[in-house]
Amino acid sequence: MSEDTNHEQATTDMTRRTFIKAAAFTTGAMAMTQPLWSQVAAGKDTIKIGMVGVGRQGKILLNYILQIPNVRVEAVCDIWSYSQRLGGGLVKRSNNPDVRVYGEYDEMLAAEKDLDAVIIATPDFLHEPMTNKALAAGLHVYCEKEMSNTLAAAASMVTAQRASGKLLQIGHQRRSNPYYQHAYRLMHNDKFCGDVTVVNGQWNQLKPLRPLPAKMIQRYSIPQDVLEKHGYGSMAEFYDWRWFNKFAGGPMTDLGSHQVDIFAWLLDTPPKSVMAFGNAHHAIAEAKANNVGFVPECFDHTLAYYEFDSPAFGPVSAFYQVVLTSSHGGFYEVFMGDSGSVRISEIREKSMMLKEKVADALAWEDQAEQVTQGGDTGYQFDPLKSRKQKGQTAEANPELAEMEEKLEKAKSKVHLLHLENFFAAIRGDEKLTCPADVGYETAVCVLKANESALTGKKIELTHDDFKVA
Amino acid sequence: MAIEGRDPHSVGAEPPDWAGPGANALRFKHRAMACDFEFYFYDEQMNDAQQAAEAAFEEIDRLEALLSYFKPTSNVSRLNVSPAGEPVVFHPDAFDCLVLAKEISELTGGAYDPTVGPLLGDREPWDFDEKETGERWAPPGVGGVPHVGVALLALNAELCAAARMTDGVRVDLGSIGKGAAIDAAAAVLRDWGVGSAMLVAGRSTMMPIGLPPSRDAWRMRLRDPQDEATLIDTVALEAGAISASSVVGDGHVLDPRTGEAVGEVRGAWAVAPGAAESDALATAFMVLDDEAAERLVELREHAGAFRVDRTGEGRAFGAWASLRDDVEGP
Ligand SMILES: NC(=O)c1ccc[n+]([C@@H]2O[C@H](COP(=O)([O-])OP(=O)(O)OC[C@H]3O[C@@H](n4cnc5c(N)ncnc54)[C@H](O)[C@@H]3O)[C@@H](O)[C@H]2O)c1
Repeated sequence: MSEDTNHEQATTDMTRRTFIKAAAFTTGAMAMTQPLWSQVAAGKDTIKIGMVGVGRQGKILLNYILQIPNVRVEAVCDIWSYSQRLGGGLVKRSNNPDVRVYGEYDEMLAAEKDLDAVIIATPDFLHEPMTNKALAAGLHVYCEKEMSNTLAAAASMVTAQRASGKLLQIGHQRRSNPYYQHAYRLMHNDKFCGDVTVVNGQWNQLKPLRPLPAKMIQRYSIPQDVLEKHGYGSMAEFYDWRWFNKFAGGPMTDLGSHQVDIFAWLLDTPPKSVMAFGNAHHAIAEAKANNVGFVPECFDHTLAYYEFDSPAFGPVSAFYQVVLTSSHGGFYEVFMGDSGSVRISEIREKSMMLKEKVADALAWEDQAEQVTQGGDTGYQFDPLKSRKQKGQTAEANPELAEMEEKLEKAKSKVHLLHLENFFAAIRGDEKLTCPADVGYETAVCVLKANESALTGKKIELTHDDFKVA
Repeated sequence: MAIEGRDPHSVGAEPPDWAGPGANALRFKHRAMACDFEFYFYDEQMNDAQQAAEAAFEEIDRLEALLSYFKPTSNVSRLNVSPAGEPVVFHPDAFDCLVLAKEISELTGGAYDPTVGPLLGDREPWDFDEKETGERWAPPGVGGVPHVGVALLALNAELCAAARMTDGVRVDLGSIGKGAAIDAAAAVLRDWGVGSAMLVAGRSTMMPIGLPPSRDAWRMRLRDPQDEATLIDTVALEAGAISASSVVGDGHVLDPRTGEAVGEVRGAWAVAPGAAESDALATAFMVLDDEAAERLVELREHAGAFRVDRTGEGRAFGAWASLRDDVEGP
């Protein structure tokens, strides 16, 4: 058998494609409907995009984009040959064998005159320069969170967006998640929680510091001058950018921002103060013990207290923790009120609603399914089950059917819905769920928490602090 | 199914000896596609091996999300509920599986058929998971069954899209899913510089990367599916993948062309350059007659097979003969 299986595989793939193209359909005895290929062929409604940064998150986004009809990846940009090969290869094998692959972002923008939008999934410190250049070039932008690792840079993205008149979606995908949208309705329309008084959330995920995967990094090393040109001092800085202040904002921006964003959204207001604690002691010791070759700068955990003055519920106290030194409890957010509480998470199994015994029964209560989690009994957190009128089916109600489909996607493809919202907004069919102003508010929430932890001071905030003039 | 040393309930109790005596492996295990995926790395540092394994397991999960017959958002499920004639855009990895399944189906005149689902009647394939339900599938004896056959699937390679040409047809890529996942995992591991490894999915699919540290081939012993004490054949694999297919107990395999049970073959093993392909071939070899089987291995480069009939009689096809390992004992 051949040693060169990669080559073998490529040849087999080609033969398969040719084979299919050549094969005429054999008509059998039964009626066959000819496919309407034009529905998914490139045409004037096709949105043409450039993918920038095909690392772990970029790959996730790209894999979804390749399954969305009428969106075509025209260009892929990444400074790393590993990501270029992976991203370019996927698109080539999909619907665009002519995709262009770039190492330099500026070159891509200069050469690609026909793009509608870019998707940016590079490290946080690059979000601002890349987003602003794309907006100035007249492109819509989907930019991953955190908007930036500094507030000045995040603010400049809001300004650039306004000046361009183009769309800027920030990657807080929970904003497009029907379970979270349902939580908003439950709390505000159905008053399920009554008056919310306390909010609590966490993301605990053990992230051990390990040396670089030597063989892989050696195969795909980036020349030192290229690294430096892009702001990285070494391969370790490039690969483990999350641990450096010049590139990132630590776990509070990396993970916390998704959830503090939910606090402000579901309470309908940004916080009026923050007081936070954190340090990197464990990470520094672990990095040394494991010989990872750098000293981590960002915190390995952060705990933050927020005070809110919610127009719907009044004063609310909130506690948030993000911990990279333990996985205890995973991630979720809980909204607690005097009638009930809502626990919600991107992990469906962690979501449920708990009703206080003293509260009145709700109209749909007999429709809701009871669940028990970790000893607590409550209702399943399911927009269909808790809201569906008696006897109503998805077949009879297209709105329910659409909701059902969205809910299925929300169970496993959390980013897909956010991308779909972006593309629908480009077509003028929907409004962005996380536009630049919203992304900025969240950036303020988490970057002020970092500031508080560093200075040891409680920070008072006004509504103006969350607005870009 | 019976490839040497693999007892799913006592993995690792007896270290596999395909790599020769004294070959120390780092082993990683991950559950996906209702089976255990295992990687055995030779000559590898722990840190590198661990990170490479994580990346490859992520790839397997990604393939599962695309190919699953059960998850409503998979490419396969979206195709299965799409209105006739309306194209569904596929991820290229899922599309390639569909192309392979269609091709093998056409080459075998339908003896291998990813659309055989409707023959199960209104039962779903998982209803017949013997372990779960205690019930074994007895296929209906129908002939000329409608809604079966890959001719009812239209594929468009330029658009990476597929369409059903009639509403009833349903695709299930379960027969090649594990193989496709192993192929994808192997690509990641090679990319990460893994030079010597064995990849295993359940008890049905295996694929090596490179060679064992001190041998010129991976030595695999095949056991009788119904009597694991009986050694059926030994092969020396240098590259490519090997898959196994068999009937459970005194069960049957369905011939998609007739809807009838075939009981001639008790177990089949197939080798091919890729694991998705060897998976498909192993399934096909459960059904094909000798003549069609000979033709099939001639049409597929580097393909071979071995199968055992009800009486225990074995027969080799294509590349198999050249893989036979005469060396006895490790
Ligand atoms: N929304 C979410 O749930 C989510 C999840 C994970 C990450 N993210 C965000 O996605 C972004 C990327 O994170 P990741 O985990 O994929 O990181 P990563 O390090 O895996 O990937 C970053 C990619 O950007 C490329 N890159 C770096 N500098 C570049 C440059 N100057 N030009 C072009 N390409 C460059 C790298 O080569 C790499 O391929 C981050 O902002 C992160 O916060 C969001």
